[in-house]
Amino acid sequence: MEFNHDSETLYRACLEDGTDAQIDAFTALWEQLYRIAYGMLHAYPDAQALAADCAQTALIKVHRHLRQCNDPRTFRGWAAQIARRSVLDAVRQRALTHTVRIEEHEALPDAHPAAADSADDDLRAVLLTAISHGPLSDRSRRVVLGRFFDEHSDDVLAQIESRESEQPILPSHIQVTRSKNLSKLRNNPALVAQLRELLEE
Amino acid sequence: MDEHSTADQGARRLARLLTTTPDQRACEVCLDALESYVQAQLASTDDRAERASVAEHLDQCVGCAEAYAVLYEAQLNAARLPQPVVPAPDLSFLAQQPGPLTPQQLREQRLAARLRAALDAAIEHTRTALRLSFSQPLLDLLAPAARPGLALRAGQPDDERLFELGLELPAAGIERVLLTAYPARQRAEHCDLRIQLTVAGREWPDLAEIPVTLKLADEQRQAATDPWGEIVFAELPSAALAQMVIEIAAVGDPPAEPG
Repeated sequence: MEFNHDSETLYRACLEDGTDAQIDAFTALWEQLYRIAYGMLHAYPDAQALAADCAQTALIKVHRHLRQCNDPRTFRGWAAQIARRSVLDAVRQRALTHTVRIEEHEALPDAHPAAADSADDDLRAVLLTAISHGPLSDRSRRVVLGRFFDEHSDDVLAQIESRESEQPILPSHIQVTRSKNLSKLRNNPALVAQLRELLEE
Repeated sequence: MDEHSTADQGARRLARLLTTTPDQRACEVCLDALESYVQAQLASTDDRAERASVAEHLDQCVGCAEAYAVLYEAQLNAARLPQPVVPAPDLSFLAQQPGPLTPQQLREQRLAARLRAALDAAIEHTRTALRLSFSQPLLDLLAPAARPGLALRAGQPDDERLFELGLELPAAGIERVLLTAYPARQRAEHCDLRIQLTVAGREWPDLAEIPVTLKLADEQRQAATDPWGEIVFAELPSAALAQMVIEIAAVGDPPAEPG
């Protein structure tokens, strides 16, 4: 049975415990939440299963917190936000798990020779040395240097990288690349200790 | 003149990012702000100062950065994605029970619960009789369209039946009562009601002579079962079924063998 009613009607039907109207309302809401989740996850190899998990989590949260929706006219938007947040939580959890594995396999040497032997105590020089000699690709270096030393936005950096690679690069790609490579740099205890000393000066 | 040049400020910012680790609370704050952050970015709204704290956290936290990328690309591509095939949801949380439950299963479960509640209200046991009082809500629940998969009785629905109700309720010596209503062949807007009884410890031909009383709006009929434990009340006005009361006399021990 189709249930294409507005937010307020949908909301009130969701509240009618024990009725078929409630079943129809939550079924309609499920379709909306699943489409949102799938739209965000479609690129993942297990997109359908992951989208179903996230949408189910969101559906249960909506049911549990129904009365926290302050304005029934915004119910669909409120539920959509819960769905997007469920997806973000799942993606973040998955990324954190994967990051631990990356860090285990790609741990930097205990102390980078260039940073340890450098006679230049200047903060900028230490960072430039670490970036230049660290386990970063050319793009990663450009992305980190471009953000912190040239003050380029991610939109500008995406345009630069798109020209360099002759394929479309999005600002979101730039952000993730930079975040992952900063994580690699952070994995160098000697570098971190040296930076802390310089920051305290 | 500023104490630090722009490049030095960038270096200090980078150094701070590398020497601090965000906590879970910072991630929650960032995730809460991501939607508006992405919307502002896609709208090219120049509010980098307001967005600075989110941007800083995304540099510090790979998990949140990946979540941001998913949201950004989903919003960017929203109009271009193909519509997926949507699977059925699990609505078991509405029934507050474990295990998956599709919408159809939940409907059937609720229908069965409503029917049980209606029957509880309709059935009365006394020392001398079993009484079943019909009502319109009960009749509505018994109508074939209301219970496509209900299994209170064996067998498949017969298109001719108006309703069929099987009661498994050991009481007054009766184990089971099966009521089946059919349209009366000889009279429009009337029906025939067949009542079949199963009695503990008895079988054909010892199921005869059990008194059954049927009360309608303004009439009363009495009859006794045949050796099979069956009785048919013919040509009852269909409109009066909602006020029907059936009384089945309590059954004692089976009759002793002659001789």
